[in-house]
Amino acid sequence: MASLIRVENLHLTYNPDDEGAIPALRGVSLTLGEGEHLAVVGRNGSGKSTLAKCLNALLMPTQGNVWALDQNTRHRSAWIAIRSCIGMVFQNPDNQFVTTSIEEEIAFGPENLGVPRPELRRRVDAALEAVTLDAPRDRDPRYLSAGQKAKLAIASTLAMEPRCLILDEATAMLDPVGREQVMDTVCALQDRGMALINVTHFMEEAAQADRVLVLDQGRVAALDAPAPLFAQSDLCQRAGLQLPMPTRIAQGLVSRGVALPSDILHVGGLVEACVAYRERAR
Amino acid sequence: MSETIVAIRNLVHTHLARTPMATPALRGANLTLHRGQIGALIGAGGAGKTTLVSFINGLQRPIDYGSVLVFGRDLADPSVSLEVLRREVGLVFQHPHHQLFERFVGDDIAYGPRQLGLEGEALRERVRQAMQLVGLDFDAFKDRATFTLSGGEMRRAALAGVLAMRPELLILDEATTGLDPEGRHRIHALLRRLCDEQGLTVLIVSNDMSEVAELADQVTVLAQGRTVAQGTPREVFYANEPLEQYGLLRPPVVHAVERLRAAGVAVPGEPLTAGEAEEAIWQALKA
Repeated sequence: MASLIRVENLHLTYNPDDEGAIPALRGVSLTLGEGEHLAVVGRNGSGKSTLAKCLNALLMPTQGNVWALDQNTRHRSAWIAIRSCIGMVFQNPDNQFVTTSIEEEIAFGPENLGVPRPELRRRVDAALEAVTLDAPRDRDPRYLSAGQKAKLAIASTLAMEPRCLILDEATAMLDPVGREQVMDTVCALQDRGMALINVTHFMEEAAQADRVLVLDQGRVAALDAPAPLFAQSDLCQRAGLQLPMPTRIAQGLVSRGVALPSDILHVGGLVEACVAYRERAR
Repeated sequence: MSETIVAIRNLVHTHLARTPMATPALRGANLTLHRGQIGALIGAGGAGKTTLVSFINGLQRPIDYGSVLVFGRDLADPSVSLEVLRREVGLVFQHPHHQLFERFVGDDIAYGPRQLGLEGEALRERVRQAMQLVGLDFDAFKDRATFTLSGGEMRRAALAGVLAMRPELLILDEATTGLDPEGRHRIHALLRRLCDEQGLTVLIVSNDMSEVAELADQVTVLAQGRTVAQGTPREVFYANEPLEQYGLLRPPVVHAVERLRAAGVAVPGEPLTAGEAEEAIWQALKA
C-alpha cells in the first residue's frame, strides 16, 4: 500500500517562545496508507486536533516533519495541492461557511479549482446525496440546525473529491441517525479508495477503523487494530478511553466466569457470542 | 410532587415570521421540569430543540401561541424581567467559543459573577470553586489564553463560567459533546450532586442516547417541533412505539438487549446502562 501521509518525530508547541509553553505534540510518528481508515482517540487536550491540523499543512511542526503526498508540509508551494487532496471537517462548521446557500457552499471549493459546470453540478448532487441533507438547496447555511450544518460541512469537503478525509469530531453534533448515515457514507467512500482519519470520542466509531491511534499527552500511547487494542484494558484506562459498550459488557461477563471470546467489538459479535455460549452450555 | 420549575404548553413559533423565509420551528411543544430533576430533550436534527430551550431563559418571548412558565412566571407577560430570569437560568451553548470572549480563562469565568457585584477575594474564590467543579485546575488554567484551550477544555471553561453564576436552572445544549469519558463522568456526577444537594434543576439537550439513559430522570421527545413523548428513560426507550419514526435511535445498550432477545437470549428487565445490561445478560445466560 502506497503511503499517503508520513509523520516523522513530530513535535509541536504553540507559542514556543512563551515562558512555560506546553508542547501539544511530543514526537509523533505515523504512516497512513492510501485508502486506510485510521481513528485518532485520546483525552481532551491530548493533541488529536493539533495532529489533524499538521496533516494538511494548517500547522507547521516545531520539530520533525510531515509529508503529505510525498511533499513536505513546510513547503508553502505544496499547500494548495495538499489541502485540496486532504479535506478536513472541523467540530464547529460555522467557521467553515462562506456563502449564503447550501448549493453554493458545496460548489465553492471545486468551483475555485476551475471544475467545469456540468461536473460541478454532478459533484454537488453526489455530495448532497451522500450526506442526505434534508433541507432546501437554497437555504442559507446560517439557518440550519447544528446537525444539518455538520452534514453540509462534510458535503462541501466531499465535493472536492479528496483522497483523504479528516473528520475532527465532525459527527459529534449529529443526532444518532445522522451519525450512522454519515459514518456509513464515509466508510463507503473509504471502501472505494478514499483514506479516512476520524478523530472521535465515540469508541463504537473507532472500532470500525483499520487502526486506532491513541494519543496521551502528545505522545503515541498505542497504534494498533481495534480488537487487540481494546483487549488491553489497562492501556486504554491509562489513556482515558472508555471501551466500546459491547466490549465492556463482554469483558464484564468474562470476569463473571462466562467464557466469551476476547475480541468482541460490535453488538453483532456480542449477540453471536452469547448465543454460541448458551448452545454450548446446553 | 415538588415545585414545578418549567412548564411549557403548546408552544408554537415561526422563525423569521412574516417574511418570505418564514419556517415553522415549533408546532406544539410541551415540557415540564420539577425542582431537582435532570430532564433531557431529545429529537432528530432540526426538530426544534435549540429553539425550545431559547425560550426557557428568555432569549425569545412566546408571542405566537402557547405559554412558557419558568419559576411560575409567565414569560409572555411584558412586566416579567428577562434580565432577572437570565441570571437565574444558566445556558451553556452548543459551541463554547460563542460563550468565551475574554482573553484569559480566569477573566472569562469571572465575567458573570462580576456582573452580580462580586469583587476581590470573594470573586476569586467563586471562580476557583467553579473551575474546581468542572476539573480545571485554578492555578494551571486561570492565566491561560482562552484560544489556546483544546475543544474539551473550552467546554469546561464555558460550563465553569455559567456555574460561577450559581443558577437555579441550568440548561446544557449539547454541552458535554466533545468531552472525553472522564470529563463527561465528572460533569454527570457534578450535575447529580448539585441537583440532590442544592436543588438545582437541569435540562440537557443531547444527541447521545447513552448519556440520556444514564443521566436523565425524565425525557421529552421532540419531532418536527412537536412533543411526541414524555416519560422516564425506561418508559421512553423501552416503549412499544419505536423512536425510529422520529428519526431517533434507542441507546446502544437497549438496541443490544433487543437484538439478544430476538436471537433467543431472554434478557430480563429493562437495562439502560452497560452495567445493568451485563447483570441482566448474566442472569439470562446462567438460567
